[in-house]
Parts: sequence; C-alpha cells; structure tokens
Amino acid sequence: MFQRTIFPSIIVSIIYGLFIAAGIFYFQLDTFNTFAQLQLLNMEMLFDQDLAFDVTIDFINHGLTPAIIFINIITAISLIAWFVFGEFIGINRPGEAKKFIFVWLGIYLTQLLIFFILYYYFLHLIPEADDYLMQSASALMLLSLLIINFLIFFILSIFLSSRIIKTALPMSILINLFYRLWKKSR
Amino acid sequence: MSECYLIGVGGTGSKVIESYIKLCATGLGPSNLWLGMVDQDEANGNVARSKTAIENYQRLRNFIKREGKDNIGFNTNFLKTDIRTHPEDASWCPLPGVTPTLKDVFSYDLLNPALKDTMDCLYHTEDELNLPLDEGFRARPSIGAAAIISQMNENTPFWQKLFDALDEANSGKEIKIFLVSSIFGGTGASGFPSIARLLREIIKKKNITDGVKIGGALMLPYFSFPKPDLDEEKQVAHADTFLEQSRGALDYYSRMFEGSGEKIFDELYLAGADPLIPLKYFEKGGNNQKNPPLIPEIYACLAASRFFEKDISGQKVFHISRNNKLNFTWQDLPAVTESKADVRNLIGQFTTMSLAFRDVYYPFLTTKWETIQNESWFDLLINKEDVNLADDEIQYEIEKIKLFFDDFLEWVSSLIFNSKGSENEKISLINCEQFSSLDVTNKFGDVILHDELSKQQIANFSDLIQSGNFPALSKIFTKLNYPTKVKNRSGLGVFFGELYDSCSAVDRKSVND
Repeated sequence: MFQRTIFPSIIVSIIYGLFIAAGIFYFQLDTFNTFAQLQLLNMEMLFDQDLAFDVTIDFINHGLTPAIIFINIITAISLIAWFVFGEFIGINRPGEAKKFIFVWLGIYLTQLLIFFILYYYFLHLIPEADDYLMQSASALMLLSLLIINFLIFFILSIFLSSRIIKTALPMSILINLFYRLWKKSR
Repeated sequence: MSECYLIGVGGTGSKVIESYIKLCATGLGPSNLWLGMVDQDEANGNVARSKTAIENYQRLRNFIKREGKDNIGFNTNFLKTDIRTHPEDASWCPLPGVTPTLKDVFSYDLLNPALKDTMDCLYHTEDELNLPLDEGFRARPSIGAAAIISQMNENTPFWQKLFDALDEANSGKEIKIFLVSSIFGGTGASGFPSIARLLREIIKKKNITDGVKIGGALMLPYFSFPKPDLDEEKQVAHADTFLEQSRGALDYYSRMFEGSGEKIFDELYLAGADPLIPLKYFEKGGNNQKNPPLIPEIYACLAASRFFEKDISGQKVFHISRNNKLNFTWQDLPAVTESKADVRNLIGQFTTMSLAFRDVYYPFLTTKWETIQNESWFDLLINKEDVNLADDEIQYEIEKIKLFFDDFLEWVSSLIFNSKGSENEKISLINCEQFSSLDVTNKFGDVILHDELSKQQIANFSDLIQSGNFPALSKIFTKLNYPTKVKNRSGLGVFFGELYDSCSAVDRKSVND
C-alpha cells in the first residue's frame, strides 16, 4: 500500500506543491510583472504607469496565482485518485488492467474539464483580470498550460502508477501494440 | 539430520504413500526420504498410481530445483522433500510371477511328509495352498507372513539400501524407519509386523544399539465396500470381517507393547474411522483396485511426518479423535510441528498456488504470453530471468507442471468428496466445489476439474481454504508485481517461487492455533 499508493501520492503532492511554490515565486518577481504588462495585458487604455502596475498586481494576485494553485491541486488530486483506484480496484489476473485505460482517460479528461473551468473562472470571470487580458495571450497561455499539464500528468502516471495498473496507461498499450506488430512482421 | 525411510505395505500402504507424496509437495515431509512399497498385487491400481505420483514428483523436483538453471531454491517448502526410491522399482513384490501359490513358494510337493503335514495344519490345502497370489494375499495374513518372511533378505535389491543404511547408525547417524499398512487385509496385516520384526533382527545382528528408530501407522478399518459376487466370495476380502480381524490384530499389538517383551516399534500410531467410509465398488485386486484417497490416510501421513520430525524417546502409542462427528475441520487434524496451523497453512498454500497457476497464470505462460509483454510481473519474473517461452522444451515443462498441479487438485478434491462417512457429514477443509465436482458416472470416486473459475469463484478465491486466512487473487497478482526476489532462485523457479510465496497464509502468527 505504501509503495503503491502513499509514496506516489507524497511524490505527486511534493511535485505539484513545488510547481505552485515556483509559480507564486515567479509571479512575484518584477521581471514577470514587466513581462505581464508587455505581453499578457492590454495596457493601451491606461496612461498612468502606477495604475498599470496595480492592475498587473491584481491580475497576478486574483487571477494567475489562484489559477495556478487550484489547477495544480486538481491535477495532483486526479493523479492520487488514479493511484488509489489502482490500489483498490483489485486486478485478479494478467491482462485485466488494460481495460482500465478508460478510467485513466476519464480521470484525465475530468481534471482537464475542471482545469478549463478554473482557468476560465480565475482569468476571465474575475473582472480585474479579464478586463485587460489579451485574447491571444490567454489562448497561448492556455495552450502552454495544457501541454505542460498533459506531459506532467502522463510522465508522472508512467513513473508513479502501481505496476499492477501500469498496463492501463496509453503508453504501455502502445508499446505492447508495437511489440506485437514487430513480432508479426518478423 | 535423520535419514528417513517410509515403507507402505499392501494396498492401503500404497495409498498412504500416494497421499504422503502430496504432503511432501506441500512441505509437510522431511528433507530427505527413501520411499518404498511392498505389495504382492503387482498390478494393483493403487500401487501404480503411487508409482506415477513418485515419478512425477521426482521429475518436477529435479526440474525446478537445479542450481543455476530453473531453481526455486532449496529453502522453500515447495516440494521440500528429496524423495528417493529403489532405482529399478519403487515397489517390491514378495512373490513375483504369473500366478504364484504358497505351494510353489515352499516347494510343497518336494517336502517330506512331516513338513507336508505341518503345512497342511497351518494352511487349508485347497483354499490357501493353491490360492493364486498374483493379486495379493486376499486378506489372509497367515499366507502373507510366510511369503514375506521367506523372501525378505539382505540379497533382495529392494531392501539393500535400507540394510546398508542401518550400518550407518553405528557411525552416529540417526535412521528413522516408518511402516504403514492396514491392520486388516492380507499383505499389509502380515507384512507390517513381519518386516518390523525382521528389521529388528537385523539391527540386533549388526550390533546396533542406538540410532535406529522404527515407527509405524496401522490403519484400523476405515472404509467399507459392497459385498463381492458369490463366485468370488471365498477368495477375497470382506468388509464385514475387517472388524473381527482388527480385534485379533490389536490384541497381538497390545501384547507387543505390554510387559518386558522385545521392543519392535518405538512409536505406533493407529487411525480409523467411525462410521466406516462407504466405497461404491469392490475389486478383489489388480489395476481396477483404485480406491480414492480418504482422510484417515492423512492421519497416517501426518503420523509419519511427526515421527520423522520429532525426537523419539520411549515406546508410545498415539491416538486422536475428532471434535464433531458431523463436521470435520482443520482442528481435527494433528500437528506435525509445534504450530498446529502448519498443516492447514501448508496444504492451503499449495492448493491455492495450484489453482491460481492452473486457472490464472498457466494460459499466460503458454498461449497468451505475447499479449502481456508489457506487464511488470512478466518482465520481472520471466523476461529478466531469460525464460524463453517460445522454446518448446520450456512449454513442455510448463505443461508438466500444470499436470502436476491438476493431479494435486484432483487428489485433494477426491479426498474431500469421498471421505464422508454419512450423507450429513461435512468436510470443512477446502471448498473444492469452487474448482471441481465429483464424477457421479465413475465408481472410483474420481473428480472432474472445472475448465475455469467463474466470476463469483474468482471473487471468493480467498475463501478457498476454510477457516484460513489466504490471499485473494488480486493480492497474489499484486505480490507477483512486487516480488521479494529470494536469493538463489533462477529461471522459471523465480516465477514459481514468487507465486508460491504469494499464496501463503496471510499473517500466520495471528492465526489462532
């Protein structure tokens, strides 16, 4: 149980905790503030430099920071849910785990849905942030976050999933498929 | 470490030997054992079955305990006992030949009139002296005793190993010899005391004062069978006479233990059944005499194991009785070691492993292995050990292992299905219904193993062994994926070792003895 569920859960919590900490730290830097003013927010309507600075701080504190915190928490919870599922589903025999690829996809897509909701809520529904956030910047940010989210979710799933449930991961199924095709071609 | 010898005398002795081999597979036997059978009925189905069981056991043990090859390791209880037999034949027939008679044995026609008269006094001229003995001594111990005593000597190859071993007792080695037979019947009833007496005489002749222990288990009547046909009635054993015969024999043995007479047995165990377990058929002998294994025989087996395991001091007679007439449980079986739960745990572990292998892992090592290449257990226990499942030889061995497990499951099911003394009796040891059923069309009490476990049976797998705390299939699979990697294991032995370890009773110490 410790090796298969508790330990991976701790690792996931630490990794996503570090992402959150790194995000908060980075967002507080002046360089990010400047970057946000130049690349993310539309400041043309604001002539006052101090006001622009305050708006950026608002965008970071009420938009980006909570978004990054909640999105990472949700992703971590999703991964932990996958580990717990693997522990308690009770795979009785070889080959049985494969069918749970749908559970993995289900968990991933659910967290993705919550990801979108949180993203939209924190960066578009909260007026301080949404008023100035550029559409193109938002789209780019969303795309980048999606790719990073998928990659980390995927990699952590491969490295931390219990060996019993590992064959339900898409990567594992692909490897097996390639192996069989290779064997057939020989 | 003692050198252990187990000799099954007669049809019942052979049956006990067969059961003992199964118990050795589970780890309830000693580390080393020389096995032999004595039966006048050369073609007896029970003897043949025991011989096959010995061969299969030795074959599998030789395959799975080979250093550097497919090695499960020597510290495991799996096939713990190194069983040896006489290289040419595991059984000895006192009077070989097509149709030997007592007349032939003693060259009756060549005897002088005085000896002829003595023979006539001891044996009925027509019924006994001319009785064909190719299918045993037909429940006539007087004939068996004469035949065995006349034929058993140091020049008989079958006995040579045992007689040679007795010499080693003088150099400080402990030799333990255990005989097992029925107290009723012919070969067993006559051979048991005769062989023991002969052994004692040889020990005396060789001036061996210490180091040789002789034990024995006598099976009191424990089964009954239908009356034979009228034309066979004179020549064969009758279940009705078993009790009467046993009473006489018990009187003889009680005198053996009383007073200051010669000490023959260091320990004697007696086992029987009340009510008698009814068998469905009668065979006077030959290859059709294939009685199913019965629980009283397990008592004899456990007696042998106890005798081999413990220090022997003084003469003892053991007896045990069951707790409830209508329900037979693990508590009714005697212990071999200090822990009473060991019998249940070891038999349970082997049964669990046999069934898990047969119904779950076997297909994935034979026909479906290419579909599970990415599974961790397969990678760790098969691929990393360089086991090539595409190799025909490996496939042949896996098939043999499966047949060994099938045989064990059939034996344990047959034991449980056929041992009921009455319709109402319940045998609460293993839920054999989960994987087998009694073949009602077959008079020998054979069982049919089901092709596969149902979903319900898979879910209830941990309930296979009654009142035991055994793992569910999912736990077994989990353990295989996180192997402990025991030293000295290699090849296929790694997989089988891990599977065996995974099937052990959970938290043995907490099991209430």
